[in-house]
Amino acid sequence: MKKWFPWIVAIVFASCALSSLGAPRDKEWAVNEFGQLPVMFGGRVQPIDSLARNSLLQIREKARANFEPWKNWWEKPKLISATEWAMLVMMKPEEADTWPVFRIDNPDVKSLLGLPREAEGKSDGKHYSWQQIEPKVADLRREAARASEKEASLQSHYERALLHVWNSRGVYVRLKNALGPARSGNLDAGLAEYNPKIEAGRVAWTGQMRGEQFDESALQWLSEQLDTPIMVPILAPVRDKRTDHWKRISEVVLRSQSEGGQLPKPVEAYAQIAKAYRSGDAAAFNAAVREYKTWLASGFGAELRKATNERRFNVAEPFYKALLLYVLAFLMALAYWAAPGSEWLRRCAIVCTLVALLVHTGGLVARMVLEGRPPVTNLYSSAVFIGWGACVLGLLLEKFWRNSIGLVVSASAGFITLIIAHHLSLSGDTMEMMQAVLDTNFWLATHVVVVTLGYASTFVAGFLAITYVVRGLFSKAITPELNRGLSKMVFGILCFATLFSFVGTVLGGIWADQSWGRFWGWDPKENGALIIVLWNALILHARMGGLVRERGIMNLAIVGNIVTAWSWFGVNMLGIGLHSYGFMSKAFWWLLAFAISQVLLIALGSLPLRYWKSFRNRLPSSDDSGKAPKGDPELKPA
Amino acid sequence: MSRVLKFLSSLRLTVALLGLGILLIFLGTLAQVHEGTWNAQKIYFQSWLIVKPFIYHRYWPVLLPGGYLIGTVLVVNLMLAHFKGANWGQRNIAQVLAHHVPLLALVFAATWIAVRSPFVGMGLFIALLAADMWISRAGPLKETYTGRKLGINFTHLGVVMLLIGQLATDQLALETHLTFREGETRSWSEAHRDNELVFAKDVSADREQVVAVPESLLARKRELRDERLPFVVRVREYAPNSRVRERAPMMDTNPPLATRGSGLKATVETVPQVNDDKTRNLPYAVIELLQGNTSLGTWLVALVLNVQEVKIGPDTWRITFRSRREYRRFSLTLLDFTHDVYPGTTKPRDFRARVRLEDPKSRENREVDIYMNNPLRYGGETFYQSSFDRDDPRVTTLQVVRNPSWLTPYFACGAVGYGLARHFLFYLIGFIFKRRSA
Repeated sequence: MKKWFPWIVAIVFASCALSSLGAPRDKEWAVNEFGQLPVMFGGRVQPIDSLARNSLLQIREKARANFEPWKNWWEKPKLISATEWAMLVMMKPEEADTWPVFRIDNPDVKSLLGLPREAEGKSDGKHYSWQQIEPKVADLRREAARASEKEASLQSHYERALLHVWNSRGVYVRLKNALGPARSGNLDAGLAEYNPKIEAGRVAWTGQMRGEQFDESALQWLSEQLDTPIMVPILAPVRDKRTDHWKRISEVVLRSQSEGGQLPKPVEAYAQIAKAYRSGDAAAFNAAVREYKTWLASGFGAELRKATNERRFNVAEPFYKALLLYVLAFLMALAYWAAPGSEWLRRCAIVCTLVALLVHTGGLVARMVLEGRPPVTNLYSSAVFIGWGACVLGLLLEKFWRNSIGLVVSASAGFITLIIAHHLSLSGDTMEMMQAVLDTNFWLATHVVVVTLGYASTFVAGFLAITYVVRGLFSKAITPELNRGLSKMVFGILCFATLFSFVGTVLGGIWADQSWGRFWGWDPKENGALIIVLWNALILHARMGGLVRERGIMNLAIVGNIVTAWSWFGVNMLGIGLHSYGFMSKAFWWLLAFAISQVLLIALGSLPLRYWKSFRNRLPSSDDSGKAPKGDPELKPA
Repeated sequence: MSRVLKFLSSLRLTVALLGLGILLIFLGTLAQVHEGTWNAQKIYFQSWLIVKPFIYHRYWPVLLPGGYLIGTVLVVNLMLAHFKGANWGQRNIAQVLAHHVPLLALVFAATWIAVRSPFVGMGLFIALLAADMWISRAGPLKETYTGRKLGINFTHLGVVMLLIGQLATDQLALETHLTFREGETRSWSEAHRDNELVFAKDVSADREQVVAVPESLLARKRELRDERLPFVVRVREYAPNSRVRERAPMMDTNPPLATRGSGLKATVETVPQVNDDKTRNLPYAVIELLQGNTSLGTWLVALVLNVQEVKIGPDTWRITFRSRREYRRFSLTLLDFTHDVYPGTTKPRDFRARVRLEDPKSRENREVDIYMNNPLRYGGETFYQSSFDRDDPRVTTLQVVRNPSWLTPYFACGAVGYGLARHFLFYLIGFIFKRRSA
């Protein structure tokens, strides 16, 4: 019976992972089809669904909206998808304003905005609606303007939280204005309301230009109309890769008013959709969305296909599924350690990790296809890729040493990096366009991929060392054989870490020479990569010279975790240099906590052998850990 | 003596040097926050010793080895270690000559090709590695010769080349900038960190005679003489950074700084020197021109002021304080500059400068596109699209780099990369075979 377990596990998990791959079906409202409509935002074509998800992630750190956050999950709170929420915001803003979607945790920000601090009645003390925030928006604006003048590293917690709320407001307002005068469903009525405001905005603008008194709110309104997602694709005279010919609805409407001529089809289509939506006529809504899609298919087939595929990727949530599977695999692998005889458990864990890795790979490849880029383009994708690389390495180790250590490393690296990736995705679109300097697939594919593999392998060596310390101290699992095996694993991985990090760093130097004329500029990220190379070289030389023994190498490999984490995230926090594409102050404390945890592990690893459960009884013949592994006999050529 | 040699060639020293190197790079990276990249580089990496480093808001009374010191000792350590461990037996020397040297030559050849076309070069690397592995692990040399240390030797040779190459770059490379507007032609570029005081007069319709005094000479505040100048220059005031502004008639009651030229209408405030990479020091000086013992007057010269003219005898001399210029025999004309952003954002998508290159000597006259990741290499220099003007869309800035040793890191890294890959693969293959046979 037990020999069938791995197969059952494989079939169950694989079918779970594949289940949401098919095109999702709509019930009453054609939400899915609406979510597939292409828009231009952040310089790229994406489905409305991506825009909605990324907006929600920024506003409330979840990709779904919860309209009754005060309820516990078993009380079935009203959860709705990002696209449904976006429909509400775009077309029924007066209703959307009443739902609590803004997440605010900082007590000072809550007091500033006059929000209830504690959970009471229909408030959970964390989520608030736009209606609750709006009365104090002038205070919010003033404080945000003050805080944003400060350098990011000098901002207080309150100021950062404040700026976050201000940013959420921007995201929300942008979505609300996306349809411009078409959002009421009646273009004529919309325009009647729109035009006087435009005029007032224009007067205010000329006033500001001339340095006279002007109506600030009118100007603000106007500038908000010009900062919306771009909804209207316009056929360019020459079809090429450039996508500049998209226009905002408000721009199109204003132009057609001043120059005459017919409104482009998309504006009318969105007005139709909004009209049906507002009147609660699902059939008309679905027909309008479908009609627009048919129109798009004739001239903008490529954009529609891309948006549809991206929406499918969003719904499939491969990284979330992989994360869950990694956690399961991790638990199974740990369970194998507890019951070392049960080979079937280890096999189940292998199968589970493999399925997770497949899903992970699928997500990675899907992203590459959607972006038309190599796997790593920003900090987010580096996290996804480091996890992937570490997982593959761990599985390879498991193939040679069948003791579940490789599995634990694989699974833990997988879920930790995917959690990190999730948190990185909260700051906005993860498929953002590349700056001109970085816009070269050749170097992204070589330098970035190789250097990231260098990070991954250094982490794998560090994780192996952690299992050594923890198991050696607290269990009797580290037998003399395992002691030798583990140190061989760590040594082998460190060799490859040295190779990858060196080659990756060098390729970066060559890229820099090709684009800026200097091979080495002591940029913080370059220095970080160099430190990893030097650290790995140091361990190898120390081992070579017999300065450290097995335990010493393990401790040094754990230091490697700190070194790599610093190079991966720490240098970005300095806010200088060409690589400082993601300044994150929030992550600083996490990095510090990670470093401290590693230092503690090293302290544990340095405890005298008599405290080690695995070695206590073998102390008299402590040759296993005592002999300098200079010229390891097993590594000599056959 | 032998103890010193033993220490200098020991692995212990290597490990210590690597550790110190890591510490140095870490501190040097942190220092960039306060000192700016350029300055931190000078203090930490391009130095022998670091006296009283400024770390975490204060000066620490310690002495740290600088980048040059660590690099030099590392090179000595490496070379001695290899010298000591070398096998001078005839058979080994024959192997080195018959295998190592030709292989190294092939690695360098592959690197050279990789510089031109990366894909072909990388393909050659892999082919070379595969052939090498086969020869030493499975092929004809399997029983007799394994070349166990070959990878390490290549790696260390590359590291030495890398360190020496970086030193050469520090000493020889010159970085200047060329800023021009569409339609303008330039045969010179500017070094933003060096300034010069320039006296110029026309010799003919299209030629001028230029006498340039580097800022470092002004800083000494002495008298400057040159036979080409009909006057002596006495530097009366100088400051490395300042703010020059127009004199406010009611506010500035002190006498003007200069008796002639722009200085009559300007006032100067000295400000502390800056180190960061975004702002620039704006030096000023007050100079007096003397003919014999008679003073011709004093002038205020500063980077922000325009050219000032003074008539002496038949000639009109122009006086300016400006960035040091590097002249070249050929010229570039900016024909067109485009700067695209992604739609609906301010994120740059593409910068592209179309320039005409005219070289009277080689009679080249052609148009070239310079854009991100695609520089122009000409006349020993490389021109990179580097920045643009926020206010004027027709202005571009090219970075011009002259670095005679630009190829050394390529060769060095070819050797290290090949060496590491060979060494680890060599053992990995051994390991896998052993497991399989076990």
